[in-house]
Amino acid sequence: MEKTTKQQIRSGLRLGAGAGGFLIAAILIGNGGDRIIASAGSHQIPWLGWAELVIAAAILLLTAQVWFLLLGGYMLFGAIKGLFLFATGSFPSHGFSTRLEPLGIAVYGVATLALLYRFSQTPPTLLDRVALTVFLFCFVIPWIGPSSALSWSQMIGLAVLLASWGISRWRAPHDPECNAHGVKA
Amino acid sequence: MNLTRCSTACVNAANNGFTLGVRAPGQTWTQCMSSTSGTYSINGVLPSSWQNGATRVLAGNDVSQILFGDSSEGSAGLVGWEGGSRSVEAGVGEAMTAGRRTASIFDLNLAGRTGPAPMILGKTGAEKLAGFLTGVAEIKMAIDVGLTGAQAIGCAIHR
Repeated sequence: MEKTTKQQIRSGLRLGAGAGGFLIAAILIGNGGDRIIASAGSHQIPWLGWAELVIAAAILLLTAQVWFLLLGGYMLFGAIKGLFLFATGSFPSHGFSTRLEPLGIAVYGVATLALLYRFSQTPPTLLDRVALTVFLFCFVIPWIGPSSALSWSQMIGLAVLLASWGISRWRAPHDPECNAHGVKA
Repeated sequence: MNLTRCSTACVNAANNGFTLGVRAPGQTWTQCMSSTSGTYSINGVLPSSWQNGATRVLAGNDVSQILFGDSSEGSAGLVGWEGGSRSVEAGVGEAMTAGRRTASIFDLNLAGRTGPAPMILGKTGAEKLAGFLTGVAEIKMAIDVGLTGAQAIGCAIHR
């Protein structure tokens, strides 16, 4: 069915607000992170830095139903780039030491993309939005990990997204007359 | 607040408040675009100690990298998307229809029933997946183009 002009305008504004919110949140996270890192040596608590992170989290929670698409785009392109770097073995500016590192990133990207796919069928619930926000924070604030390519926090973020998928599967109503494919016997 | 976070090639901006222009004195526009190609992205706004291989590969700006940075890395994503979307488009086919004279499979036509054939499946799983992947790729490209536009404006103005 064709969308009316009004519906298209509303859809475009929603998409623009979601993507814009995502970028503003990213800038707030970057600035907040800078302030927190800069105050690491001093005894002062970087209130402004933490406030920026809290505001970023609130924006991300409110707009998660849109920016998951943008996150999917980053994962799609990143997975392809990871595979390309793995195939060519040439990584001039990424600092990888082995081919397995870009391959790991490609697998991470594909796994994230697979977990995001369900949101294109059904909009994310509040729990899903929280999981998406936690995933994003874990992705952009990496702790030291098994390699320079992926950090532990990024893997924890993926585990949180996986857990939210598991919970949604567990909560989904089961009809005893349906088979594994949801078709009535 | 600086709008960009300069890395190795970019001369640090004067820390005297808000700056819009990012082009250093004596720098050409192309040199400025090249030196800031990695900074106008999600990875670029993160503190340098937070950047790792995953953020560099997954959260970079492919458009800016292709045009002004390391094209061999940026083009991988674009080539993959272009080839992938074309092959998916060619491969998934049309949803089947049945129960009218216009059914896409001749054996499913019914005698005496005219009019547009109802679709057996609204959309196949492959079509849904292709639609999702094309959609996310388009949004990502739109954001990258927008950030590259902002970069171009920033490089047009001297600090």
